Amino acid sequence: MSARLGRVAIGVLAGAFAAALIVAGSAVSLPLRSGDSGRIRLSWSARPERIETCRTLSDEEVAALSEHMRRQVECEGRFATYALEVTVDGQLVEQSVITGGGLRADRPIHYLRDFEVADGKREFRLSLVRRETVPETPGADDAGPDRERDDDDHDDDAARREPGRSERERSERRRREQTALPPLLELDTTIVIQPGQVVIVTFDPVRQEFGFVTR
Amino acid sequence: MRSLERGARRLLGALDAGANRAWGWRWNPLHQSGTIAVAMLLLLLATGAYLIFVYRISAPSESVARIAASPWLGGWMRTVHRYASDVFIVAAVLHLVRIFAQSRSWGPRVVAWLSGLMLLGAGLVCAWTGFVMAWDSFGERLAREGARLLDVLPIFSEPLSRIFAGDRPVPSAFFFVNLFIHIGLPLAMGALLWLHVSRVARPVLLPPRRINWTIVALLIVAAVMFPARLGPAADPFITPGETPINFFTAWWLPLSERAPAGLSWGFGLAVALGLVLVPRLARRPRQDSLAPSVVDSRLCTGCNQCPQDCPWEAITMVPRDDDRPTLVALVDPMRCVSCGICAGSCAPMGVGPPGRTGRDQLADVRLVIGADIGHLAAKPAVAVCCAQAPRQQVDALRSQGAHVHMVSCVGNLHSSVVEMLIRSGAPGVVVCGCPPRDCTSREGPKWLGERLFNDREAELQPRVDRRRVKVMTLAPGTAKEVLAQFLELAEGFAALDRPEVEPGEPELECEPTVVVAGKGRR
Repeated sequence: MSARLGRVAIGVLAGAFAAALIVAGSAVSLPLRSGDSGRIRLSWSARPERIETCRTLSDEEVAALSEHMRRQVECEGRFATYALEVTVDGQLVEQSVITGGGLRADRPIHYLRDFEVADGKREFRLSLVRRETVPETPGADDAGPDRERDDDDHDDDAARREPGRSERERSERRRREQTALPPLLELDTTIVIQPGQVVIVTFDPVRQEFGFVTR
Repeated sequence: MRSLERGARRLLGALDAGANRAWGWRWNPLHQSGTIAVAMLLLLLATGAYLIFVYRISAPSESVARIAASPWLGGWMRTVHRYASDVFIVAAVLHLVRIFAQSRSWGPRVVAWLSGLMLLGAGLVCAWTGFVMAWDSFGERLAREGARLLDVLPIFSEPLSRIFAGDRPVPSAFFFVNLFIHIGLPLAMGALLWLHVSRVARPVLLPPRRINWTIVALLIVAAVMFPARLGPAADPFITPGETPINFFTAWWLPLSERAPAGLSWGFGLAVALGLVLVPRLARRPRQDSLAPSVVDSRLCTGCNQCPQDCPWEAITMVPRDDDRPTLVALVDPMRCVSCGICAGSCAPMGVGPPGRTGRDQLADVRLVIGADIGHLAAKPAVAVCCAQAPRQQVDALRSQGAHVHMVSCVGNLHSSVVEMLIRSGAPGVVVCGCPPRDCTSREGPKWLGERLFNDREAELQPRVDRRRVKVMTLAPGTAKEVLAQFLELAEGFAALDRPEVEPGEPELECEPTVVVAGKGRR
């Protein structure tokens, strides 16, 4: 009888031990950060600047194109790349070259990087500089309006088919330029980081500047 | 691969020995790992069905915190859901290790192996999405890491990681997709489970009730006493000092977070590829002891017993190509795992793996008996042992004077062999098999008992004294009990040969019984 009771006791204890293993393994506490550090998170999306050379097409060139492809101004070029440098208290914590997304680097830049910093008052400096130099050439918008006027005056048929085409092209180029990253962006400031706090540095495409997002 | 299998066998042997000592082989949950995983899946469905009604994708962390705080149903229901997922993963991994250690992953079992891997993978993804649903610091961590890993694949126009960056709120569409995966995957797991058991006859899907309800009760008690921890609500602006991590499903997380995403992918894919390739690497030539069964059509009477007994549905009855009016058995070598169960089921001994048919077994026994027909009588008993039985226990039986006769599986044993041993003078025959739920042939001990004691074809003939035939189970960790049991049985056999003490006393009719070793008496 006592042997049987002993076996039952061993079985119960073993069952309790197995259950304890499940309970213990279900939530193992692991540290997420070292000590009282905080984090700075660089997180933004922006369009890289398009570096391009534009020219106004002649009447003959426009006429040679299919109707639905009759652009007034033709631009060729590529997207800019940027050098990013981040220092905290004068110490370089991030240095990289940023290109547009996609295989052809023609998609928006999506940037996300985290790094740990000690808590307290920190000198934070970020610079994002376009790496390419842009030659001083007449822009497409200089040629555009004249071309548009020529079209309006001399090609009524085309204007009737595509009214406001040139204006649309111009506004599209303007919109792209306005939403693209400017050649130089800098953020130089002092921030106070609490233990465990995450400070997010992001890009505001409307104000064309970097800023902090905190709670 | 062989050394890995040996290592896994040793590990399993040690675990089994511990569990057998604690609960006895009959109630050893490690033998039921596959069925326990299924039971946990059902428990997850039952508890999940409740939780899904109180979960809100518009306020994930708040709704889960409310569930966790509920003193009546929600709190422990959520915890049982969590613990059941842990047990599911542990049971599935143990099941995988057992199948690997017993080299049951290749040949006709490839479909079961691969579908089992997919079930485990689906279970892990389900657990992942479940933790993300809670949207506490751990869920957020898992979501971030998942997004980081997915972002290296060139499939998303915008990196998923930016969803959790904090410069904008996490869209509720994310939680909707996460919930959709969490609910959709278990449905896929149902289909995978069907595939998993589709090639076996009489699949056992649930553990014995006693084990099943004991585990459920344990989980409920644990849930009430130790509610699952919920980390602080996910907040992109706060990094908590520590976070509770589920070890069973996310042991890799701290390592992966520190490694480049490519390295994490490389490691994960290498492990997955290695597991997928196990059947290819572990396979043996299908010859000798692994050759598929063959049918001697001249001996086949068309009784239809071998298709009924085959655990792999590898045998069908087809019309004969001669003028006899019966059907004839046909073995599909692509489905036959060479377990030899059919050899034990065939009264005329016309089917079985080459070298292991009933006739081959009788020939082997004749060799053992040899010219000296009386030498078995000098032994306390003949122990017919399964080749998979623990070697030390077989040696222990031998050291007690037993004549040991090895068979590939006790389900392979033809009852005529037992009869021949008794008729050759053996005081008794003890057939030593593995625990029924740990039989590599799936149903060896089950059919053995039926054939020896319940007149299942090919039954032990009535002329054989059943008192001289016993069945024992050899399981790791039960050596002492096995030895004591054997000595008791041998003493019983010896008593049968002693003259009657009180003549005239009416002879008692002895009921055939199955005697088993250790704590698993019935």
